[in-house]
Amino acid sequence: MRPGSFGSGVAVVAMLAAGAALGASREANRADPIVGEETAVLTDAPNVPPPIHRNHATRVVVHLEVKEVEGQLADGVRYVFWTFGGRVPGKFIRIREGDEVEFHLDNHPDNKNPHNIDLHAVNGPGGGAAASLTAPGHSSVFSFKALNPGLFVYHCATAPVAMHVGNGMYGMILVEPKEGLSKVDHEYYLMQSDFYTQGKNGEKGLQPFSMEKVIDEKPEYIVFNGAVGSTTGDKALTAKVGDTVRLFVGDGGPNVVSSFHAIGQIFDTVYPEGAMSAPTHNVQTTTVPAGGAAIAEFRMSVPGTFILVDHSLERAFNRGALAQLKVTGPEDKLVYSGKQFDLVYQPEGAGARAATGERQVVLAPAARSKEERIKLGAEVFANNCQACHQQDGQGVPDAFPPLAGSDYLNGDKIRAIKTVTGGLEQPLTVNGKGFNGVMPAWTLSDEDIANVLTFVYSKWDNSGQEVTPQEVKLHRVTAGAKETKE
Amino acid sequence: MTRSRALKVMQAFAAVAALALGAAAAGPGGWPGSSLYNLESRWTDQDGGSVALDAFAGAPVVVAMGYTTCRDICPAIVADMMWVERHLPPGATSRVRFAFFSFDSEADTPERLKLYAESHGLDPRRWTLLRADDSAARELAAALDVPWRPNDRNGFDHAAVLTLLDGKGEIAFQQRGTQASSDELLGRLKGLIAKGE
Amino acid sequence: MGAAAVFVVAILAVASPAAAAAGAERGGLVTIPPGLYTPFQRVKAANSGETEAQAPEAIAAFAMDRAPVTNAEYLGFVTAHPEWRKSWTKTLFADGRYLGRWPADLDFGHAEAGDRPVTDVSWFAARAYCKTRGLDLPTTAQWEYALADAGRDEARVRARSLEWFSRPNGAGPGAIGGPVNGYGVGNLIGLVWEWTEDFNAYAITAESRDPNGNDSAAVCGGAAAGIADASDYPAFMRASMRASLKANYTADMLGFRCAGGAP
Repeated sequence: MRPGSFGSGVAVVAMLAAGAALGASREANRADPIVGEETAVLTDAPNVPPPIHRNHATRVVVHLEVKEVEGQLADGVRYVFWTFGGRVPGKFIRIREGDEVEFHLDNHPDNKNPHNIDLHAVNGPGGGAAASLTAPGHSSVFSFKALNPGLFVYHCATAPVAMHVGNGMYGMILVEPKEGLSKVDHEYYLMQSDFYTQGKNGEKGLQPFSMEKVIDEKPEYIVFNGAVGSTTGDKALTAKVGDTVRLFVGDGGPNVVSSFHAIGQIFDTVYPEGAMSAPTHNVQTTTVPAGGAAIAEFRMSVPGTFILVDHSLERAFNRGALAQLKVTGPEDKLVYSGKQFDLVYQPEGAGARAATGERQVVLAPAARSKEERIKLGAEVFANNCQACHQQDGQGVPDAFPPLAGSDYLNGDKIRAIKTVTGGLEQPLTVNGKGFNGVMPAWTLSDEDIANVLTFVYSKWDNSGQEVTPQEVKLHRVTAGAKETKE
Repeated sequence: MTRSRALKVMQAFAAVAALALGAAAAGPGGWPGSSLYNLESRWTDQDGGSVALDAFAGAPVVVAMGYTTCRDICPAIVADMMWVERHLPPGATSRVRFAFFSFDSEADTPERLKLYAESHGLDPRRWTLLRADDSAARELAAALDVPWRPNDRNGFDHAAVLTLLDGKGEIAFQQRGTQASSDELLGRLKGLIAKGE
Repeated sequence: MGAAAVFVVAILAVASPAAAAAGAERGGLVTIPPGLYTPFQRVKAANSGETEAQAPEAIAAFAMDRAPVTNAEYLGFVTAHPEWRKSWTKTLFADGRYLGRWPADLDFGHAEAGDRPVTDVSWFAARAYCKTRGLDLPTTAQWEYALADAGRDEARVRARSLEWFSRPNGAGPGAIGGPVNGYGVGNLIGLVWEWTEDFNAYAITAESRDPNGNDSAAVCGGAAAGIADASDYPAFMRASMRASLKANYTADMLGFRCAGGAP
């Protein structure tokens, strides 16, 4: 034995001992006898299969069907997704450590392409990929023993991997530690990923995959659960004041790492990278690597809409990485007064946006009537405004001002044009309430801005006036880098 | 490793389907639909004799593909087959056959095959080394699921696959990759022998 | 260098057969001139530390079907060769989906299917069809060489491939026709995948995230595969598709065409 090796040996033993706090050792899990057999319950996001109450290992049979399906990526934007189970992200799988999983990967005969699966929960070549390359209309079977507890990503690993993953082929498998997880009121499944369309963000129609953009790592969309707006509005996650919430957060990539954050809610406990052995507490933002995961647990203290974002903000507000958790129940003024002080997270705003050099010029069809303008404006609103100002135009108290019946908006059309084109960085009062957020400068075309403002004016008891592209052109804030070329 | 009921049912279904199809489609030899003996290619053995695949019918046979000038994986494949041969149960040594099929239709003449068999001490009572044209070799490799291709060093890149065929020419087991001891293949072979094959 | 000279000759030789070939809508063999082809998956000696790309392969002149074999053509084949009818075929030669779109042994269904590529055929079946015409399936190198089209329109071919992957399957492959490439070959992409004679030659690298790796004892120790151009996604897709197949497999979007030595 060389000098020093004894010391490092002790360190390794100590590390292993600490790691064994939750869950058993690999050796114990390998030897854990299998009792019985069950078929795995699989769920689509944001739902999670029920907790496991078994006190023994069993054989779990998983049937996962690969389907290539056309679906919606954003309003008016269609995409052919390659999926594990029909939707993006793929089905959530829940097993217990020590379980023996018999995995059936079924490649639907209507599919065009071969696929396989790499589960990060597997110890073995390719994580199963080497055993599961499956032609359309065929099915592969392989088995593995769950040796390590944790939350793991799975994904297709057929070449070109970035294309299969870029088209939506990822999901998560939870290997519960044998002690189980603590009881909570809600468990949700949220998975971030990036998409590479040939058309720019917002461009309508069926969008083909862009090989160039995925290679350059320049996504058009970064979303939660497979689409812009998948988890907002009436599809938001829900909870009540006093409830405990556990989020199983994953990042499918293929390229972008997430800075996962809940606006206005501190994570009481985070299992970083989905590992069960070393939870951390009182966390603001946790990194979720591409091909990685995290578990975040927290108790809701006050009601409101809590916005879940990738805190790399351009992604949240311009590319789609934004979800909502709506909490109902009584206020607790001690925890949050709601008036005295602005606790809201502030986007970095116009300067940062302009500095990226990324323009978001969307070629919009020209409206021929006010009705068409309103119709086209609705799409612009959904893609750009709704995330903050909300589907019902009510905004979010203390964070994003209401557009519905807004005195600020209805009072001055030209001010509205200047606000949208130039952004806003000073405090303002809307309908008697103070706001101190930042409105970014929108690099939209004159036509789009005219349409979206006309739409907003047509809704929610607003003044009903029309805004024309000529007016936008005339009053557009043209200072510096904010100018938009058409 | 045990298999689940689901898998067993699937396999049983596949077997029934294969039998049904086989019965409907039994050719001149009457082999089951998935039998390798449905291949009609003709091969030449190390003594220059013409051999159809179903010449091996009636008893288990351990089959592999390679070529005699292969210096890396093929010796290991042959060594694996010889390991199985050494561990045959008494009484089975005269029935079980070992067949080595060559990819190399050019270089592997019957003379070359015979020399190879002799230099490796392969007992001609159990061992047959065979060659055929490219097309037949490709067809057999496809049926045995042995990926291969000529490489730029006058040889072939190929997978190491040992296949156990039962008396009717159906695949009873495949070992992919070479091993120090081919226990699982030997176990399946003993199972066939115990069933009277 | 000699290789470069051959390559130039190959390009020059293309012009006339291509011009002669364009015109007929489908069917018939097109002569492909000789030339050099760099395989997508290059081969290198194990443990050699070699990193440079594999030398291009010389491709001799050969003939290839202008278009994939159609349902109508395949009906003629199974009529003359009953052993390849769907109810007769053995599982060794074709799996349970063989000719899955055909309602019966001698019926491919709707009339318009007649000039669409036959699909759900196995490698054994496709090969048997070509043998009856005195032909073979094209090798992977021949097929890819024909698609490479001496470098003409490379970007457009890639874009059309990606577009095809991005389109839902719907009711199966469309009709044969449309433009042919510089060699006079059409429909290599955008309708169906196609069998090649040595489809499984590269299956050794099926798990290809480690393109330079040597994949375990299942592979001949003599070689590992590398990738000529990791940004050529359509080439990866074709390689993965071939690697996922076994010779008796059939698939809904998998057809074939025949090839042979130059006439």
